[in-house]
Amino acid sequence: MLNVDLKTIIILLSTTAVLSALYTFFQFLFKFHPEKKISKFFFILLTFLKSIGVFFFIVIALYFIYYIYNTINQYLTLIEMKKYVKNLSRERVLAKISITDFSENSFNCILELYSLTGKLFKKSSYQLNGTEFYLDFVVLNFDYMFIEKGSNNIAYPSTIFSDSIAYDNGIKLLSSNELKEFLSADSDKFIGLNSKKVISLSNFIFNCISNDDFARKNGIRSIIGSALHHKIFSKSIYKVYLQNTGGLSMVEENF
Amino acid sequence: MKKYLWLIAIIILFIIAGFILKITYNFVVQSRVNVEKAISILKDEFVPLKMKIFIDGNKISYQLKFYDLMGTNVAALNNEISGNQLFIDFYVIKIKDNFLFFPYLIYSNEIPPVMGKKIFDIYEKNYDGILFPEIYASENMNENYLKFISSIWQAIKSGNITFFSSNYNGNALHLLSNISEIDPNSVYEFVCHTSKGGIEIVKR
Repeated sequence: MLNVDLKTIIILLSTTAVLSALYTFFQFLFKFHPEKKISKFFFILLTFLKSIGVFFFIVIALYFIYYIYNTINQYLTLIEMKKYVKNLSRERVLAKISITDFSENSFNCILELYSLTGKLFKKSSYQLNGTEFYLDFVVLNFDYMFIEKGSNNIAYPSTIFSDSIAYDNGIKLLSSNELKEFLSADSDKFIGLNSKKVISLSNFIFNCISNDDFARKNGIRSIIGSALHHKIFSKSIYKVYLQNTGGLSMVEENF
Repeated sequence: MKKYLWLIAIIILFIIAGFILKITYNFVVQSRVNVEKAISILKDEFVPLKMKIFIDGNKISYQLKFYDLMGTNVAALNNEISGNQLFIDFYVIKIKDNFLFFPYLIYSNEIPPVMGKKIFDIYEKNYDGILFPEIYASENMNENYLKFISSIWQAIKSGNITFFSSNYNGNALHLLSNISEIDPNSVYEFVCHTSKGGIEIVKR
């Protein structure tokens, strides 16, 4: 992608202005002061200046056309991104953890991850040391300029660990490919976007997750981790909810 | 006269019983917390904690400042920990469709929660014998509110929060250092949403 900064444009514009001024000055001499003999060298120089000036002018014009095209394109992507984020940030269940067995220093659990429409995306069993489970999610907060204040976050499951297992030693819940699938799962159920667009936007989000510079340039205010946890007292079931305002919350399911 | 002695004894007993009943009633009524009234003092969104952080290799230096509901700084903590991601753990307790937040533990990506540093006492204040988490101090604070918050506070500290509310969990927040720009001059605010139960980190 062409990336011309403001400094380059100013240099090009000032060079064009200087060349135009010189050209105008010599043209003035030719037309209104023919008595002043100008050598062949000056004539060649003038023609050269004229061609360079025209070249620079074309470059600047092309850049502005590109800039306008890019701005319109970005604006359209922004509209689509808003729709995408709005779809994904609908208040819903993200995960369900069922404690199937526990002892004084370990526990077994079944973790179910859900896609946008509440369909089961992945189901896995884990055995961990500890007395408290920790379910870590990555939450993408969009810039207030980009989306209304305090709303529309995207979250996806990241790691499971426990009170006696450090985060770095925890188990990753989704591989890179699974994450891509998770972000575009149920693409036909997105309101206002077709499947193709959803997949393209999920790739865009995936790039934001893996590249912080890209994320910041594209309206993501912060990417944080949020590890929800609960002490294990019994064979219980907990559900993690994504809220369109204020992040995540966990509720124990009552029978 | 002896004839009516039993009657006088019964009357005296009734008076004493009434007196005891009145004292008990007053005690029960006074010690009963009106939860609705206490919750109405809470704000829908508040910032109990602000953080400055500096990561140098495998060491995190952090500065935490605690704020009450009026935005007044009530406590601070400067410390270091090994790792490159700092976890700030909150107790999130649901009471009558509202959530209360209590920052209580600090650890890192390399240190498991069980070995974390407890930060309860840092923002605790003694109000004439009642221990109170100062992050909930408010200009509208009354005795009812003080008792309500301090009773939850005691339950958390003693590890008996299950007896108070069955609906609670922990939420450990951490900045993802490879993505978020950890600027040592920036202040990160922990925004707590009382009605939804969520916590966000916002860079200022």
